[in-house]
Amino acid sequence: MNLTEFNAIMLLSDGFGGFGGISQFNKDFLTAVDRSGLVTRTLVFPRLIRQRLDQELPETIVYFRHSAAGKSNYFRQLMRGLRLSSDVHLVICGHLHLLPLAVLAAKIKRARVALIIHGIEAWQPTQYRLANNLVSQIDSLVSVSRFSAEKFSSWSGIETKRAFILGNCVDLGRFVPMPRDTALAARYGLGGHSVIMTLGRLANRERYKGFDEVLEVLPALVKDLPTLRYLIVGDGDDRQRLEAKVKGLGIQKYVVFAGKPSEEEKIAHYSLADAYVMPSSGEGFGIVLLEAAACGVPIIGSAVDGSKEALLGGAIGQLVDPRDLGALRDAIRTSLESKSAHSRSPSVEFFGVPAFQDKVRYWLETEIDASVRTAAMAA
Amino acid sequence: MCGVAGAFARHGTLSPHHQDVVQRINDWQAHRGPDGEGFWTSRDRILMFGHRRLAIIDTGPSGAQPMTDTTGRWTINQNGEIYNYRALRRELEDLGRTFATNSDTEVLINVIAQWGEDGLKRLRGMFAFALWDDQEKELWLARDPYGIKPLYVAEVGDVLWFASQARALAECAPVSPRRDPAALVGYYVWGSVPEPFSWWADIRPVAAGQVMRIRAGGRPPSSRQYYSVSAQFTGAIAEPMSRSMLRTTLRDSVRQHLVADTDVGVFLSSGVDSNVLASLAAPEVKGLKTITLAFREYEGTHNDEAPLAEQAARALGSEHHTVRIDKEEFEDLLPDFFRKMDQPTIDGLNTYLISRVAKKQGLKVVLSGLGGDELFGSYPSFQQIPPLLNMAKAMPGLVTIGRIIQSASRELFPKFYYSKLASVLACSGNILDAYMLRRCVYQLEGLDLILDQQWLEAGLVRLQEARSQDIVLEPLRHASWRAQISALESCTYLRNQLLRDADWAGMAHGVEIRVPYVDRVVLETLGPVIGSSYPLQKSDLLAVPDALPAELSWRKKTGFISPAHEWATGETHAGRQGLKTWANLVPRLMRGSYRPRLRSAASAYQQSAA
Repeated sequence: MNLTEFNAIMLLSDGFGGFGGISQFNKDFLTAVDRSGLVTRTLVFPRLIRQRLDQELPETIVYFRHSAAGKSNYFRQLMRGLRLSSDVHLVICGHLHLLPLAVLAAKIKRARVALIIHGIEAWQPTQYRLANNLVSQIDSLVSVSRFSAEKFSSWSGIETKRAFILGNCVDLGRFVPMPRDTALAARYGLGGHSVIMTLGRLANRERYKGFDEVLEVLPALVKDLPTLRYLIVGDGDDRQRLEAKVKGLGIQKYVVFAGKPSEEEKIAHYSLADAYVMPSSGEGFGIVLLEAAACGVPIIGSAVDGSKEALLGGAIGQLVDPRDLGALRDAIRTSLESKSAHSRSPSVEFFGVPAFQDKVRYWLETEIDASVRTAAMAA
Repeated sequence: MCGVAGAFARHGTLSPHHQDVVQRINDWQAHRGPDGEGFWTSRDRILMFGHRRLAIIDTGPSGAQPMTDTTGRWTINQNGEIYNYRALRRELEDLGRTFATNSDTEVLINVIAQWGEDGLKRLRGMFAFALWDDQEKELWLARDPYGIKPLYVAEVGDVLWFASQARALAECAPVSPRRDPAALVGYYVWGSVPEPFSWWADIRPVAAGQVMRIRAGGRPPSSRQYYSVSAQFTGAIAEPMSRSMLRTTLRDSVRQHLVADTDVGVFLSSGVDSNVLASLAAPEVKGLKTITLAFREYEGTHNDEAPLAEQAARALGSEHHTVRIDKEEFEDLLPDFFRKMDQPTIDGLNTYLISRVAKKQGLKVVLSGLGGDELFGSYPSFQQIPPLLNMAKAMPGLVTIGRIIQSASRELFPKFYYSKLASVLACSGNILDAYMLRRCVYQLEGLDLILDQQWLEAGLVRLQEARSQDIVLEPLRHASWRAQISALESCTYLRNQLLRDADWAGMAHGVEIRVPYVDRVVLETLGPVIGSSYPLQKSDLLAVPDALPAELSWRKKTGFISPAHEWATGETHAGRQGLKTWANLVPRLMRGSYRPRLRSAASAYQQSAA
């Protein structure tokens, strides 16, 4: 029986109270840390946070809210937390940019340091030289996909085999197959149409979600399938460019920009789609693919980034190379032709919350063992 | 003493599904009553009782529960003992009531049938019961004045679930697993979950000294406080209590607590309280069994309780058993200890271990010296709080200075800020602050590192709204510090921690722990004395028996000495910090996060570190 305290601190961009994939991962991760029952307490230092959280935190998680107010304040609060907290055994760094502080904290507390990498932020050296140089100091690496770990390895020298692969998870109780929301369909003028959909941030800097590729094959598709509509769900600074592109291609009639839906409306949006298409080239994992798959929507994802792992190498959805527009067109066509009632692939369970929590528990066990071993050796 | 379970439909009727749940609760509580189980469903299927029996009085089938009285109107599901049942029965028989059994449970039914709620004040004992009045279609739920026996309820939709253990409800009934923020904050402050809350938001205790009456058909329930422990510490006694009077009072209580159709033993430590009990019990019981728990690690040290206890036992002529436990055995027992723990608590280990020994000695009933410190003023709180409060009274502005020191240290000397020392002056302004500072595991100021702001804020609001300690002190506005501290100790620490732990930790082995110092009649006799200018001292208690080993009288109170916390936390000086570590570990270990694989590594680490 492990009767000693095992305390962790986690540095992260945001989690509870935040939006987006990384934020969701952090929420799920911290919940799993709490559920494992292995960690006595986790002090969390978020860089960004809304003052009031919309849900109850797991009871062993303590948020240092004051830390989320500028860089110098973050540093001060972290130091205060370190000074006052009892023993800390593990420092978890939730974002590569925060690694210098995480390594410092680990040195002060003589703790192990674990880095979590997600996607594109870790595929190349960051703009911060210090963070890049300190990568060699980590004791443990968690990556959302093997793909990200390989990319990370290519510049950091941290071997891929050292990475613990922990894909995102999807709440299979919440994301469930549902009949098409007719009111929502009417709002977008989609009644009676076949719909393909992509959901994601329209970010000018990233442009890796594959909106462009889908738009490019759309003119050919609508020739054969005039009732087809492309629903783009999400917003961002790239929207104007994409709208111009739609105009340029002369397919305004076939494309709907839905904007960013609320978290509650997200599932209803998935229910509108006959196929979820995301021929991306920069996804570390691609949680939206799994959300859509959990809602029973047929999936077409990318064969060239982390999506391949999210789709279990093709078991959950079709894989296409986004550079091969012909293949993309064929995949969409095949998917729409074999139109069937929404039903969830059983393979999605692999990424369910219980499986995620098991993986986190297993990872923590190895971390605790390593920590005990190190301490025993030091003594 | 037993395990009580049940379901009550406020609207409609109960289904086989509800029956399954009551069965599950009963099974969960099986260790509370290894001698039998019983079920009962009302004719109209709106109420179900499940019962696990530990047979102590009228041990045959006639004493089984749930029990219906001879008129058929009343059916009861009880956990506890009514010590004065014989006297009450004679009185009731004179009033024309008839009895079919020799059990105290049937007397309890008739007390209520005869005198209604007022009858509860006539009972001497420990009890928690659910009683069905088939004529009025009304369910009664009640607990004894001190709250020695537990009873929890959870209302889910139209169904009211109840059980002896909160955890049985949490794990078996369809209750939300939501945590009560007040329980979370309360636990880290006090080391146990303070009433009126439970660890689970939707489960709450029936209050000590309270009777709830709930009618079928959804009419609003009524609840009434039929007894207040703290109100007993008032009174005008003009002269000190004579030692013979004290002796008579305590001897009478011990005699009452020996009522049983099975053997009764005594937990004997090297403390005065248990030795006085044993000396009063010895002449009453032929071949009295006394039991002492000792630790191998303490053998031959000042902390070893065994030699003194053995010496006392020889003087009493009791059949004495000292059982020594070592670290290995302790570690093997821990998983069961945490499985049986009802709600998180930093205490209960010693009671759990010694009850196990009692069980091995074939005892079902044991007397314990719990509650003596509250009556005879022997906790440090009694010595430390009054001078502090008096000083603040004499020096106006002291509290303000204390607050300034406290807030200034927050940023400048954070380590000091989180120590109790920083708060002493700030807490000298009123007895509740001072008491909390004396008793707390974590101060409120230190909780921001332990609990998230959201839990903390919500918990504090709920705790403040409950005003439980203000309510304790309400009848004592003009009473002495001593009376107020006695009341606070009796209604918080004793109730929420010592008695609650004695219940589940004893019941974990099917052992009933009886507490002669925690007794309504003793309280009514000694309470006014405690509130007077001549409050009772430990020396008064020492003078009760004819002879006690002399060493007992000068032995410094060691309090709760056990290496268990050290074993558990790996900290060699498990003082206050060790207690904090333990407090941090308990909720996690209660969830069953055992990792045997790590044990050897962890203990190797601890040994090498030591």
